[in-house]
Amino acid sequence: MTETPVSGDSRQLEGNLDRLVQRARKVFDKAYLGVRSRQVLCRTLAGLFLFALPLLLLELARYLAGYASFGIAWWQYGALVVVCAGVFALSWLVRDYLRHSVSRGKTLGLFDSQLKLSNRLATADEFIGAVDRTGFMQAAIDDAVEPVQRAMGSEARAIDADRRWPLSRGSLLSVPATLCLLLLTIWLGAQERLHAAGESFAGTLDDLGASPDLSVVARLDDEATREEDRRSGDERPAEKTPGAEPGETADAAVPESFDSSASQPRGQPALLESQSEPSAGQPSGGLPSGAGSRPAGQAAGGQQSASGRESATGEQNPNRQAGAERQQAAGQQQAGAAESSGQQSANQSGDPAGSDSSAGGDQSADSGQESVAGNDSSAAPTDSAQNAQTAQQQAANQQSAQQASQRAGQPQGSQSGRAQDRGRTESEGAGGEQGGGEPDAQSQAQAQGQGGQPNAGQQQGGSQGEGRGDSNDAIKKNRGAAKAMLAVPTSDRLIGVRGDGPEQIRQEQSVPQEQEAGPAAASARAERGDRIGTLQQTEVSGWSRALVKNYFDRGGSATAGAPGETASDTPSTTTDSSEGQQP
Amino acid sequence: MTSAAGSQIESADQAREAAGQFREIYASIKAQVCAMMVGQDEVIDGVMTALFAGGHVLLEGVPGLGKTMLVNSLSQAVGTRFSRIQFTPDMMPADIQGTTVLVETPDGGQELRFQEGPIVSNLVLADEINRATPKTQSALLEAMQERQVTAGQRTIKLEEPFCVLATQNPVEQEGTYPLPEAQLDRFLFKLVVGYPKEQDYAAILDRTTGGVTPVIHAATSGEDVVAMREIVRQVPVPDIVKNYAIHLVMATQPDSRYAPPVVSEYVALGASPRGAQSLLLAGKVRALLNDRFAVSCDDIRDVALPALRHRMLINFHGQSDGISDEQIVEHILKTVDEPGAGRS
Repeated sequence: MTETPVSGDSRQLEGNLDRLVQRARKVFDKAYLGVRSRQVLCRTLAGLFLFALPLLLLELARYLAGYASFGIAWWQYGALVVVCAGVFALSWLVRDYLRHSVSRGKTLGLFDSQLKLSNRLATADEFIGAVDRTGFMQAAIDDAVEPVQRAMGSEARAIDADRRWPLSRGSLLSVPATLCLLLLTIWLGAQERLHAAGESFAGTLDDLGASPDLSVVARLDDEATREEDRRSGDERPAEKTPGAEPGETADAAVPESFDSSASQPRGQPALLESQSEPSAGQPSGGLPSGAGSRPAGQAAGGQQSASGRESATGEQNPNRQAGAERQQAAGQQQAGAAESSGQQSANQSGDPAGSDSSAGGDQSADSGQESVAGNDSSAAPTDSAQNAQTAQQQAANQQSAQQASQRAGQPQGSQSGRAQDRGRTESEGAGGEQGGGEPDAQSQAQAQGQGGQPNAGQQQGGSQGEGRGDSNDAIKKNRGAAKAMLAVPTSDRLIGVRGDGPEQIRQEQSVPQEQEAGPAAASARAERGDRIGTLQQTEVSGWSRALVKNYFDRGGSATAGAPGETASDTPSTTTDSSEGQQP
Repeated sequence: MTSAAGSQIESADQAREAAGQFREIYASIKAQVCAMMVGQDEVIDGVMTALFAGGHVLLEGVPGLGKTMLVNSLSQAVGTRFSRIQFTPDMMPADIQGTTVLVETPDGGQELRFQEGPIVSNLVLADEINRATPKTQSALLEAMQERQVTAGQRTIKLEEPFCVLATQNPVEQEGTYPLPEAQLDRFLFKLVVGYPKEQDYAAILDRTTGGVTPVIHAATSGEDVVAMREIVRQVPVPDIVKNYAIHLVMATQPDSRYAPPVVSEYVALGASPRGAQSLLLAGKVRALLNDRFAVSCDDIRDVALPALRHRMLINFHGQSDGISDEQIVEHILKTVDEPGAGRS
């Protein structure tokens, strides 16, 4: 194939084709813009609520932070959303338009299809640019000159584009959703701020009765430590704090056994009072304590309260949990010391103080269980700071008492007994408030707190035995099997006959034995005299009767008649022989 | 007769001359065939298009519609050899390809001589091909594809133009072996021969029952037909038309992006690339006949139905709903847009 030189006609044809391409491209662009704009608008409408959502979030953040509202009118909110959506849609449309492109063949095909030119224009445009042009290609180009002239003189009609609006269900629901968000934003802006801007968020939570933040807890820890040091240095016996009267708590539903007013140490009334008094109008949520020492019985309650706080605030506070664990350990140590001191005092002195101390030890465990029960049952806010303070005081008191007794050589029971008395008094107060209506929890707590005490086993058996017995041996013997069986008396053995079991076949050889056989006499058969009955005679057909007759007739004539005489000659005078021979 | 036969057409004048010759030969052949055949213009055009495109044709119709007469007339008009094979269930491949027979020599001796089968011809009418066993069918179809016959150690090249026109009776289904889809794909066209129109009956009766039998003269020769085939192959196809043919073929394949929902629902197997080859080859013939020098979308659309109807497999759902191949192809032609169709 040879390269065909581009002639003037070809150049003119090429130019005309370019103009046709430009004209057709405008038609395609216009149709594309129409279709695409409808699609973009519908999709923007479907996502309209996304433009209102940031406004709501901003307003909410300002509300929570205490800043004033934006201060713009309601219609300005709407205008802002519409403007943002419009800008977004416009930019989207511009981007799509810049990316949109139509091929030359498609644009010329518009004229081909509208003028019914059988793709002559597009074919010529393609063959003009071909490097190796064959004869048929050149002929096709020449064949397109006249159609190009015809197309130059005509206008391309608009494309039959899809004029539907692709509205979806989401786009229809987006409008009311956007209105709701805007209304919510406006309403939020009109609300009073909870606090002024700049106030700590912790103060807001304290007003709501929530648990204090870490800074408060740390502050309390420091104060408790300082108090502890002060008391250990003074070596004063623990005194009942003034004002510790039962029933004086601000809220009757305080779950902890410690009376907030009773456990309030000297020198810190303001802090605890502010913490114990729930603010007016604020809901008293069930916020359990997370700090403070507790006896062993309160371990479960402490864990519960930690988890309860997590659920209330929605976030974990590992520091608080660590502080709670420390307090729990101190409380366990206190409980163990109280038990040992109580036992020692009972054994040594046998005085009421020792028994009181043991009782106090019981009561201290009781107080822990009551606090557990209180956590379970109450919904009143607990002042964790007060509890922490009280627990730390107890631990400090006990520790100081032990140290003092060790130095002075006094029995620990008295010291611990006084500590137990204090704990008993406090627990009595708390128990009086709660009503103490959970004996099972107390008995279980006693068993847990006192371990191998003889009462524990009995009480366990009393609570769990269900009438089986009073001792562990009884439990071991029957293991509750009697309870599991139905109360239907059944014999343990059926009355019957023992079977033989499977059949056995034994083969034995039988020996034949001789026996004498009697004589066998044969009897003669006599004539029968009786009638034998009616004989059935078969019906004899005619031809057989004639046959028999002829036979006997021949025999009869042969014996009676002369020779030569046949039976036919002589008439038969005799009767049938068969008749004569009838029986 | 042909100046451009066997040579590359390099100028527009040569192209115009070759196209003119083509149209002239085509018209003369058709005139001779129409002297015997009454009506059935679409079938005649389809058969001649397949002949010039170098393909084979599958004719489907009830008996007595003139299928055999058509092929016979065409062979006489083209001036080529014609053979007819009546397929029966007991036919063996050797009956088609040929076999070695023992013949007596003039000197009294005997020798083995290869006797060519009826397939060694130019125009072969394979009557009721669905009655033959698959083994016999494969022997014929191999010859159609390879254009040669191998019998023992002998290979016989089939003389061009070689065109097989097979017939199928759609009514008789007992004792038949329908052609599998892979073998149906080898036919360029599948033409359905229908009943003649009422106005054609009189002419048919006059020509077949009268005393005068039309005589068909050879309008061309086999070499001219071969030359025409080469001219057809030189007709160019622009890219937009090529893409349109590709889109049509892909539209017959279920789960294709060009396939309409009807195809995905009712078609189990779509057309292969042979379908696109058939579209382009037949489109080239139509372009020359329509006085154009390049294939257009109109040509592709004209030959789409006979070229694609037998290349699709309707699934059971479609068969139960009574969907036919023609309906699928017509729906595809409406759905697939031409380039610049004016729809955005």
